[in-house]
Amino acid sequence: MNSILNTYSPLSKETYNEYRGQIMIEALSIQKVLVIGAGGLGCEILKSLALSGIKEIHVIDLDTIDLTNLNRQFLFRMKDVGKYKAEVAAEFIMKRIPSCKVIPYTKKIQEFPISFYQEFSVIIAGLDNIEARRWINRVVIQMVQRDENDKVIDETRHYLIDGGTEGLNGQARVISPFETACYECTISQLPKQIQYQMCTIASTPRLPEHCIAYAYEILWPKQQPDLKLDKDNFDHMNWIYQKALERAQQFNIQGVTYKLTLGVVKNIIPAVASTNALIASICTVECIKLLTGNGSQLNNYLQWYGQNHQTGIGINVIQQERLEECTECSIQSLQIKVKRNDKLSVLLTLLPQDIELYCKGEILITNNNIRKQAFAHLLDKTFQELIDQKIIDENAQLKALDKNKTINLKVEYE
Amino acid sequence: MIAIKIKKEQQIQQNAVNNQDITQTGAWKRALSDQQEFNDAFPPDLKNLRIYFPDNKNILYFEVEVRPDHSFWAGGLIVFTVSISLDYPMTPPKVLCKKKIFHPNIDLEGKVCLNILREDWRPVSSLKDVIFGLQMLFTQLTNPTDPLNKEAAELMLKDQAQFAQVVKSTMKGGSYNGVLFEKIA
Repeated sequence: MNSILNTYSPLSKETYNEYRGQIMIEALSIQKVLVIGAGGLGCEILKSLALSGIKEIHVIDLDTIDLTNLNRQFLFRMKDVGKYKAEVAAEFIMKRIPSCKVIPYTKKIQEFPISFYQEFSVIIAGLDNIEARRWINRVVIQMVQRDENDKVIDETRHYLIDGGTEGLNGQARVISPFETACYECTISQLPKQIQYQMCTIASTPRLPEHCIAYAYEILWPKQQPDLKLDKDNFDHMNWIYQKALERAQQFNIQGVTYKLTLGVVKNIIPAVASTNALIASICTVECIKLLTGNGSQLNNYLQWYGQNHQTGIGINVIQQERLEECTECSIQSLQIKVKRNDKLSVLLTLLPQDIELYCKGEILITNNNIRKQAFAHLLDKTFQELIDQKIIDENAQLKALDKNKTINLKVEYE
Repeated sequence: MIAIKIKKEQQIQQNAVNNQDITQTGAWKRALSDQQEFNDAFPPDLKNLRIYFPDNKNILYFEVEVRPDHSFWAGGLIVFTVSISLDYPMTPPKVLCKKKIFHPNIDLEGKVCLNILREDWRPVSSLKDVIFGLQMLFTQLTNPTDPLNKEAAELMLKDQAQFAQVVKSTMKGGSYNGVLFEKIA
């Protein structure tokens, strides 16, 4: 690390070249990084960060260790099965690299307040589902503040590095809110989930997957309506497997196995350790580049194909562009002045058509033809009345959701 | 560069955003944007379609009332419930038929067989497409060859006149093959 941080480079940012050397090394050692997920990607990321000289890492993971994790999540051993991933990972790293402090958390990421995330300038995510990624993407965008000229204040910009792997393929991206495409901008590019036709499942199954889907989607809710299916519970999964087998025998279909049942219900894709290592190292390097300004940053999406049926093995780097109509990051700010005894309906003339206006999550105005009757009574009230009745908070920003974007309204009441 | 900025004094204001606010989720915003399309596509004075929000504050659940004016189900009032999950638009909305109906593509528990709700759903599909699809279930999209309700499908293929009779009588609250239907016409 010392040799990297001492080297001049024309590709690096100006501030890096100015401060490189001992100052940069000291500055890096007081950085804090947040890692979300301590599984396949998470373990590799923790190792790489700790070995790169980051002295304080916080890691969040609500999952416990399973036997099948041990082939690639190398911070865990047989004796750790059943314990929390975050805690065991933290202990392992701190034992191996005493100068590094790792603080584990075992709650859902949604349970932390925004003030928790504001302490980290870089967040690295090794998550396994889309919903959590969308959520952390939104948090990162919402943390950004703007000054009086509506320019983004750089200190409030937090970066999100998102990595994902699937079998022999993987991807990594660097999300810089309002500069690069955010996660929501690219959400339509995700491959669609595999869903079988309901009528095929119900009447004319042809594949073993149809039989399993029948047991999972039709028989379980019918025969055990009050029991929530636990995909990690052997008895539940065995029940599904047996019913699927019966159905397959009825229609003379081969190929239903317990392994396939798990695969279809849990949507399992076999994991490969080397893909995780590769993507994790890319994420770590990008993190170091963000923290120090050294080198030229990934701009902004990298795809690694260890197995691509069309093009073979290779790496693809794409500069994903921001979507103009992104529902998360196409935020506009508007400042308007209204008199306290103006009616609320005056906002309809100041804002674009087809909007819905919220104050702290409660609807004030909607242009939706079907629902607007329910809120019509608010339109005739004056701002002062609404403030007195605590429907509007004088100091809170109002949010207007246009068809395509979010508009933050700063209202001055005079 | 961030390392250097952190060495200097920083004041970050506490952001007053509530990160549990459902109206700030991607699903809510996308559902809202889809529902703005209803303004043009489904004017409130339409005779054979009505969209109704039981809770005006919750846009993730609404009901669609379809009144086919021709086809076997003419004269009936069929109500579908539409539930949007927080995964929207990655997962399609869940649609159920509220009351029992004799239809080859709707089973007796209310599950609906419509391509756009399962294998043909795309993240760029919208709620407007779903509602058009539900209306067409009673006209172009009635499909007895790939059915959810086998008896209805077989009868429709075998004897259309009798099928029409059974639909009329079950819509009035009769029973068929031991199953009692509720009055929807």
